[in-house]
Amino acid sequence: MSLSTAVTPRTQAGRSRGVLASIGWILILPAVILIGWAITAATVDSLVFPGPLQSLARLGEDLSEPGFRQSIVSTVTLLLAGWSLAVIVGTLVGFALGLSNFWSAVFETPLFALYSIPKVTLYPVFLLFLGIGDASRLTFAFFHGVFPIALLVMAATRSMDKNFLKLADVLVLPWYTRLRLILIPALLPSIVTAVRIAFGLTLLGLILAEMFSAQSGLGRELVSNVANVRVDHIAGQVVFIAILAVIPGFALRWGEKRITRRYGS
Amino acid sequence: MSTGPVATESATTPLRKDKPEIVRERRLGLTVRGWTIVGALLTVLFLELAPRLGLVDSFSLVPLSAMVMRAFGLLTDPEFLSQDLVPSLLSILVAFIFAVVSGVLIGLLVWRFDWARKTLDPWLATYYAIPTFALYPLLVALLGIGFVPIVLLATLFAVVAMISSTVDGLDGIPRSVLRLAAVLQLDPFQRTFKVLLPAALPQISVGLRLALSYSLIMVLASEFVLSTSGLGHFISNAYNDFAITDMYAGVLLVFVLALGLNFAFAAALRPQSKRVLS
Repeated sequence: MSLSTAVTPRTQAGRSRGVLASIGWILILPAVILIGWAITAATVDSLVFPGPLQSLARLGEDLSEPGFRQSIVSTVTLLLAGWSLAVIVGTLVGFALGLSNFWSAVFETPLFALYSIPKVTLYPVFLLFLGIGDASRLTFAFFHGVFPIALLVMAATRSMDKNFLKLADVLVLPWYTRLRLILIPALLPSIVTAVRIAFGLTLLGLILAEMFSAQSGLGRELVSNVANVRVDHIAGQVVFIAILAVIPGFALRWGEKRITRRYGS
Repeated sequence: MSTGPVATESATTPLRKDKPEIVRERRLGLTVRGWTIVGALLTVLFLELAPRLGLVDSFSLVPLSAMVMRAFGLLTDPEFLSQDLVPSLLSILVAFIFAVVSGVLIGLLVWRFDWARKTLDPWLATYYAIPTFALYPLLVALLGIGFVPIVLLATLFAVVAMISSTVDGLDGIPRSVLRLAAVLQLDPFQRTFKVLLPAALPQISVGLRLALSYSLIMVLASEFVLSTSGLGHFISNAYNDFAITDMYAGVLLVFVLALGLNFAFAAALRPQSKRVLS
């Protein structure tokens, strides 16, 4: 899908105009959704169907409450921890397995199986072993994100030209030179893709875990509003979660494009 | 490369090429298949013996044989079938069909019209960063607990993978094929169903597999968190009632279902994609 920038603007002014145009195109879809939502809410005119302005006002109220802010901090902290753990462990395991065609063939099926099963049904098992608390949420979020990273990095390592590594052995290159000249150019594009995918999966796992059982967190806040049918609060918080996810999402996508362009894929 | 799982899909392709040499190769006296079997046996042994020998306490893990026995018991229990298994399967099927039909249509739109591409393309790649599941409480609050919000959520989650792979497939059609369609002066309907979609089929079939597994994941997750029926609800309910054997039997059934669907789908699509490629 290489369709982002058909025209490559050369000048500084041209480039900033290009950036503005692409941001404009990005904003169209949310604008359409927002307008559609407002029109529907005005037509239905019901207490259980709040409009965007009302929902955002409720979100403002929520944001001024210390309990809600505590939930944001808790979710963001666990997300960052689970995500970085998934990236580190997934990359190392994927790299180690990918170096050998044999062992990657052995581990590919179980890793793919673990990736494709609905892991949410395993969450009670995490609760049984780790108890209700940050440990089970963190581990579950990690577990949700680690397999695609391992699979992607494993595939990239396996398709890397191993003759370069043999050459590096012959030349007795130090490890940092190998890293800079061989490993990073070969693996970085796949690693950034994996990092981006893992972000979404880790966050999804975390929100799922919080909705099922947790003392705090954004998922917990959402579910606690369902019992009281506070639809306006729920809608405001959904918008908040979406914004919280979309900004790193676009940043990661942008970084991925730059790295892929630089090193090729 | 827009959605990750599509990319992981390619992880399996290089393997097939170099399989013949790997199949024969042995490490520590075992082939790849041998190691896979040993790994599976060790897992089975651990799940059976750890609770029996007291390595893991029996409130947290039950022996595998007990899970399997209970799973078979559930499969012959009419209440479980009608209250849990059938609703889940139905939701998955309906969400899958919705996601495929709307995903292919939107994919055609994005491929055909520049404005649609410019509007949707940035979101196709970023969509899976958003935890779509956060919408579920909203849908439940608006539509009530039941079949509708579950199917809607699963469709929303699965449709984007379908759109992405349809667009990827259409983008990959060689120019000559498009020229042929133009020369034959097909009407738009024939052009779409006789030329475009068959030519994009290898990519679309990757999307089909993803859409199925995404529908399954979301249906089970919604049932698990907030619902009154379905396989996911059965598991969370069993957990809340401390019925650990029931819970593990449910998890086992979900895994068998997910892996079975995945492998059946892969097997069904393999001859198809070969035929198209050759």
